[in-house]
Amino acid sequence: MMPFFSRRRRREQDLDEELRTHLRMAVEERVTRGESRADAERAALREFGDVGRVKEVTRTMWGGVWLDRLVQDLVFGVRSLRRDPGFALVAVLTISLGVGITTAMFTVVNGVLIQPLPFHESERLVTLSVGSPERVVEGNGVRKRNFPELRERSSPFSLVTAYLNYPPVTLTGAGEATALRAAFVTAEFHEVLGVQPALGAGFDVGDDRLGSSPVVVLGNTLWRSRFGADPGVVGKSAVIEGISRTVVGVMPPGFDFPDHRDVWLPWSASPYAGPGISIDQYVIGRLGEEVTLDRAAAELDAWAGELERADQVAVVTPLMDVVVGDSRYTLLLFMGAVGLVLLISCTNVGNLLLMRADSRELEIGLRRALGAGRGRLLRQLLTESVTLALLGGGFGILVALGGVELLLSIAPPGTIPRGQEIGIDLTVLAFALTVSTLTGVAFGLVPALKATGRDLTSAITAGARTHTSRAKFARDALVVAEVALAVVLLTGAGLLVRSFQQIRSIDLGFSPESTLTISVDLPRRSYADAEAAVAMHLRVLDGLGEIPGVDAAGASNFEPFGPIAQSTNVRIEDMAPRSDGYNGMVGRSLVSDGYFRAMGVTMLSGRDFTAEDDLSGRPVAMINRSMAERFWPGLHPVGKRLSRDHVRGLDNWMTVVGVIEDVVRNNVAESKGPVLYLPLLQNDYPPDLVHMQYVVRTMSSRRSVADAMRSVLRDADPDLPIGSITTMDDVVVASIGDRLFETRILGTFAVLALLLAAVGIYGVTAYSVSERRHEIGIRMALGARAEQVARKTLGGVLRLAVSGLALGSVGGWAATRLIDASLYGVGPGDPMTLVGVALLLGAVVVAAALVPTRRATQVDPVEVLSA
Amino acid sequence: MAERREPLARIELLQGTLDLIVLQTLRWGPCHGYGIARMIRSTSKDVLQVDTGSLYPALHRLARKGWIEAEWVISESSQRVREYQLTDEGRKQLAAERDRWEQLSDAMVRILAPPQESGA
Repeated sequence: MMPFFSRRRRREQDLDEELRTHLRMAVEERVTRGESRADAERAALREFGDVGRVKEVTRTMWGGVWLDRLVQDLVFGVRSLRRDPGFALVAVLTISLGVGITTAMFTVVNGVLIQPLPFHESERLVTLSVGSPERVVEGNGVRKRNFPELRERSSPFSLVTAYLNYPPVTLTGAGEATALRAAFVTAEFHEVLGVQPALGAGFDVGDDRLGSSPVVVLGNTLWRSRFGADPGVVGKSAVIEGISRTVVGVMPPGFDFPDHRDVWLPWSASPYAGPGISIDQYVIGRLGEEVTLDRAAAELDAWAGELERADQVAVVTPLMDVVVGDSRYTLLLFMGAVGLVLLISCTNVGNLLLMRADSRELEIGLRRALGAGRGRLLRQLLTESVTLALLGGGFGILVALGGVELLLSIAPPGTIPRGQEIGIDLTVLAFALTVSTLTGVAFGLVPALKATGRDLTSAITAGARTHTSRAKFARDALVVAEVALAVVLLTGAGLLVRSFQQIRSIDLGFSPESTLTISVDLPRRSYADAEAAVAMHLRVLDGLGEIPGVDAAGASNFEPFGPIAQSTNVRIEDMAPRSDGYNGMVGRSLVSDGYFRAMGVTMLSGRDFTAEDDLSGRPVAMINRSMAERFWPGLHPVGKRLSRDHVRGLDNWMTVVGVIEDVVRNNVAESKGPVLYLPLLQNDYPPDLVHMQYVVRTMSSRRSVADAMRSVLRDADPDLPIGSITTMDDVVVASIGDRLFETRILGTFAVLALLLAAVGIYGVTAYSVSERRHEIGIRMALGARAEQVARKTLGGVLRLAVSGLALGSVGGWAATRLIDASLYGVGPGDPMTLVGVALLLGAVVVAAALVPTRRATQVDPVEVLSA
Repeated sequence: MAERREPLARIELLQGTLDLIVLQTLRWGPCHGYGIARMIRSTSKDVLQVDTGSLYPALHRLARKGWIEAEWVISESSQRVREYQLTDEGRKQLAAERDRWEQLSDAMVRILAPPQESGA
């Protein structure tokens, strides 16, 4: 760079000297011929011509002139902006807002959707699901018993692992008892992902076999918080679920796959590891060398077809897609919305430039008259715009930093995965630079074209008005455009708001108000048999029931919207079974007596469970309405019998004693299916008793009841980690948290867009009024009244707004097809939304144009005419 | 001294023609810009007066193309002047341009010749 500049300078100096020498020699020759020195100098100079022009033309013969021109343009642009700080400030602020939020959103999109997973050659990692075609779409994984065969195969995976990340485990002995998020993995888990532990060697082959010595791999955060970041922790022990396990590894910081895990335990530690327990495991495989996804899918599909259950298919999905999940849709939606806001801010700045160009007419006209080429001027004006845009972009990065923080902090857990990998890196900076430059060209091009294309004579002649109508058209067009864009966003956001309202008003099947709830996971070691577990739960329930102010208390091992939903095949007495021996599959939950009362569920017929429905009594069950209608349509199900696939056998008939109303199960928007409820006291299957949600119904002060609940739990088992106490209402709201998030974000963008459009309308109206002062003055002098002037001004603005509304509604209708997945209970043409948007827009437009309109009515004709 | 003829109304020289003239002028040895202009004027008997706005761009352009090269020398009057001289490439280019010019000039003569008188 530096040699370049000094070389340039030398060239300039040489040229200067060369021309001066020429001039000198010309003068000398004339003097020799007898002219006086003064005459000679004058004549020689005149003959020489314009030194500056000669230099300039000569310079064009040199290469590398473009850099000079660019620097010149930049200097000129900066100087010109400094002369107009008000304009520059507004423009830079607008751009930094638009570019800033766009960059913020891109940062998130980049970290989640674009950057590869932080695993070795992560594009070779895939997940596998095997099952019947209906079930496999949920990504259920592979049946435990089939995994060993998968492991044996050499193709298509070079390495494969299976895991589950449920249930949580308890850590004791290193401070307070804590619940940890654990993953139960086969030995090659970390190897498959290609991530080495930071300390230790990790799991060894065989560590996941039943009976091998107990080991554990710690997460980095846990190592810091509970083990004091001890560098010699490998070999020490940690007591998990009552068992002392040797630490064999600590993972590097930032690694917590899958989904914020605290520890990794060998598969043998899982309660589902024993023989006779059938469960699906998640499977991740690393594709072998040269193996394509399609080939792997075909091979595994063939393998699945040969498994003992007929009609099984295999689905192979890239791990990235599974990790990203639904967030792809949400993030792309946000990206689109943000793009619209950016366009609106461009429109505003474009308008600012158009208005500014008017005031620079004289300057530009003169320069054209003095010989500046149109192309050159155009380049200069564009350089100015791009400089403005880059300045705005620079501040935009700061906005982006804050924006990303904000977005990640309000995003409900699970909506934005890979949070730690989101940050401003080179890709993001490159994006910001590109967007800023394009923005500068976008909003600068049209004004620059208009400014340099003006007729020279009319530009220099003051008072010429012939161009006004053309310029006004451009400004009006921009206003219509930005209103249209704002309408699109408003419509989208409005529809989401309406959808959310609809969802909130869905009948849940229970009454979430006045309920307090807390979940526990019993450490399996202490509650190895069902009796102990049931006894524990009863202790708690009794204690909860005795809290003053509690009207009802109950427990269930299934919580609505919870992570695990169990199901079971049922056989109905006196109904012909299908080919598989059953009559259908239904949901399954374990409930205590009083649960439905605590939850506020309506009993339709029969009775609730009682204390007599225990292991000594006859087996009973309760069902919900959907199940009743499905298996006993038109009949009374109470008294009928059914059985389910269970270790005890299909002839273990249960009697239906009660029917309750359908309760929402996994998802508020989902239709409620058939569910079978079994009594807590008749359960002897320990895994079903591990997780339990206690619910109390109370009208008393929440805080005192919550405190009492906590002490009941502590009394029942002091070593039990106690989580947080929430209300069922909070649980419901949290379950639609992602929807609420989407609505809020899109709503914010819509409001932003509207505000920007309002600012734009204000600016354009104010400008147009000041331009027309003369005309208004004349009209008023000729008798026009204030309200006529107001009506004309406001009317003009409203006409633009209506055009924008029309255009935006059409565009909005098309665009909302994109958010179809998020809509509930409303279609794209929802009239309430459209009307709401129109009214809101109208109000904002009028408000924005109010001040300039008033100023228009206050024009003093005398003042204007005598100017 | 010969009477100074008034130069004809500005003759617009095509860029290529000017290049040829400059190259030809430098055939007789290195020269500085002022000298080239003077030589062109005298050789053409005042018909062609190349102004600086055409000459210097031409010189720099030819230098960039590599047909002439420039260096600073001390003249007889102990002044620093920038002299140009033909390069080998330039010599070849000059020969080619001369050929082309002669062909063109022959053609122009034929076209502009008075009509042939018919027969005897």
